[in-house]
Amino acid sequence: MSLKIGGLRTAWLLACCIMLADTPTGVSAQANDFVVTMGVSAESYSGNFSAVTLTVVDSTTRAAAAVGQFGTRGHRNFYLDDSKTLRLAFDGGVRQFAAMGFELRDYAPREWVSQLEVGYGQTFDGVGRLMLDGSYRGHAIEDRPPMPLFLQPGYNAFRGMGRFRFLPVGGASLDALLDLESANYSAPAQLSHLDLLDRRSSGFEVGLASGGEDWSIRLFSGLRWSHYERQQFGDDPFRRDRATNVGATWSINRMERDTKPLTASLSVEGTMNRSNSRRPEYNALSVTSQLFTPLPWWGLNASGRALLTWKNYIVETPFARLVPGEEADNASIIEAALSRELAKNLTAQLRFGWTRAETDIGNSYFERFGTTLLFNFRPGG
Amino acid sequence: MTGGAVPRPIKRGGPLLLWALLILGAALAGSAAPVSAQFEQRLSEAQGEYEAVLLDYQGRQRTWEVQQGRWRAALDTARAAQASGNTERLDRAEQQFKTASLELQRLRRLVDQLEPLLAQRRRALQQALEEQAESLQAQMTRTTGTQRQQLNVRIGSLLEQISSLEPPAAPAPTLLFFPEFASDPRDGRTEILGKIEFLERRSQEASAYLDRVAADLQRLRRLETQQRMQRDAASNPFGDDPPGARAGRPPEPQSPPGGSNAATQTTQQQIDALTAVKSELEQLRLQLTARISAFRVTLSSMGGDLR
Repeated sequence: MSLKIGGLRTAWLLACCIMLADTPTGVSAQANDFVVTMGVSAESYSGNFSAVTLTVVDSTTRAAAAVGQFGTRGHRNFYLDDSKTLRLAFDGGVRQFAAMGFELRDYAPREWVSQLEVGYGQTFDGVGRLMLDGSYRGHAIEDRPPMPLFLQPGYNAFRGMGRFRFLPVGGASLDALLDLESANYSAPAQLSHLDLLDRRSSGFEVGLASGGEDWSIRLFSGLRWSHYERQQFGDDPFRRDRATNVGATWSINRMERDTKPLTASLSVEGTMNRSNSRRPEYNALSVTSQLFTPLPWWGLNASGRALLTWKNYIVETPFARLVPGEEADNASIIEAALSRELAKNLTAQLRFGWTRAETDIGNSYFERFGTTLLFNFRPGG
Repeated sequence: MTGGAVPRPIKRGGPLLLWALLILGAALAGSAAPVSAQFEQRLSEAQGEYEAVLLDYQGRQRTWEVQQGRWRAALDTARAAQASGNTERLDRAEQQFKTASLELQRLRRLVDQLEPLLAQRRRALQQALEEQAESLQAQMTRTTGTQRQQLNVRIGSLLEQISSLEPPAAPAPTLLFFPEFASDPRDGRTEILGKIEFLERRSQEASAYLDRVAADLQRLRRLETQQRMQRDAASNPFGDDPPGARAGRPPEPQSPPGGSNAATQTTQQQIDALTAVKSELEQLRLQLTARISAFRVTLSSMGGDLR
């Protein structure tokens, strides 16, 4: 575990160095945003469930935590020439919990996250634009507490993605996306079944977008294949899922307007997951919406995000073992925030969040409420 | 007789000393030749290195001057497009003007970047010239007649070269906008009044344009702040969306800068371009104001009413 955390820290530090390094000669760089974040949170969790990915069980139904967090993030855009761009981005940090309310003992989990991304874009005259994206996401945790304070287990995930967006024809533009993903969970000796979550998946999606000056609508549909090579079923060598999705996203961007600027999006998506194992077969409907708008008072900005999911299993199995947030479309999240610029390079944000996610037992949910005060400092001004 | 028998060591020693001096002189002359050649070689190298950088510097300066002509033409086009009231034409002209301003600044930076190296090479050449002059000075003390005269001429020429390499006391003058409207001693009252009128008109246009640019910059900076706040709101590395949380959906792609069209500029690029426009327009206005004042002084020295 400590080696993984060490690697994660190194990746994070390396990313910070790249962001702050000089631009190579002959390349114009832009950028660029480098942000240091610090914050405190108060969180409460409820639910009386055990988790397959935890060795400890506690009988409490409620737990609370005081949390301090520190992080950095940034991005840098490089303009290689008129048609080619390169983007580097990272986001990472550490969160220290002081968890209370457990019967056994108080826990002090520490969570490390790191996300690195490299994106390349190239425009082909008269055809469209190609975007290639590679990313790494790492998560590590020390002193992981029992439920209901759910914190994800440690993992490393790699993703590669290619997308081509054709130039509009008759007001509509077509795009196609292909992605590959690999997720590997860090399973300690006493929790080897965490390895069951190791996954390789690939997906393909096509979309058709159209719109006006400041709004657009995109219809999309895709297929996704996921292989859980450590989950064996009878004669099958391993579990194989196939998911089909279809949906639409409407978005509006009026940020450049002087009056009532806002950005908003609303997405509705249906998912049908089928597998060679009956347990995780389900149909789901999710609605996602996002909003950001400056408010007319005291320089405040309001933002919100909601992800609501309804899910139906094809076969009801009362002891279906899922991992919260890991295996399915099983989380509903609502977040609202108020933010304000305190100085030219300092912003403050007050966030409220609610999460409802499925636990190990199918159709059983735990809930989380959280309030976070976050400061974003930009050393570069 | 007795006096004649007194030994004359000087006479006996005279040829000996002469021989010794001749041998020493030959030895000195023999060793001076390679030293001098060494100085020559160092001087030639320093000269070559300085001239290479100077050539590059002058080339960059010429490119900058050419770009300034293009910049002026782009300003005129933007002004004409504004007068025409055609939005599409104005957008295109302003885009060209921004690009020209950015390029002008980039070329100015290229000139500026080379200045420290040029100064370094200049110092190295001066040092080599000084060493050569000192070496010749030393040789001159050992020579007479024509050779001494030649060395003197050579040293004079070296000193002249050294002083000609001295950098100007004040920074190099910046290129004049509208150089054809500079001061000319042959100008009469009418010509000066005409130039003042032209420059005043240009100055007013620059001021009006500057006001627009300043307003645009303010709007873009506000937009940039809001975009930052938006990114702050969206960023949540400790979020509750773990990998696979929405198994049926491929990950949302992050669009590289510029979105689907490379020509689309990010807010920061637009700010950079407008800042370049603003900076050049401010320089233009400053120069025009200074020149108008200078013309007015000339006019008042001619006597009579300014208008």
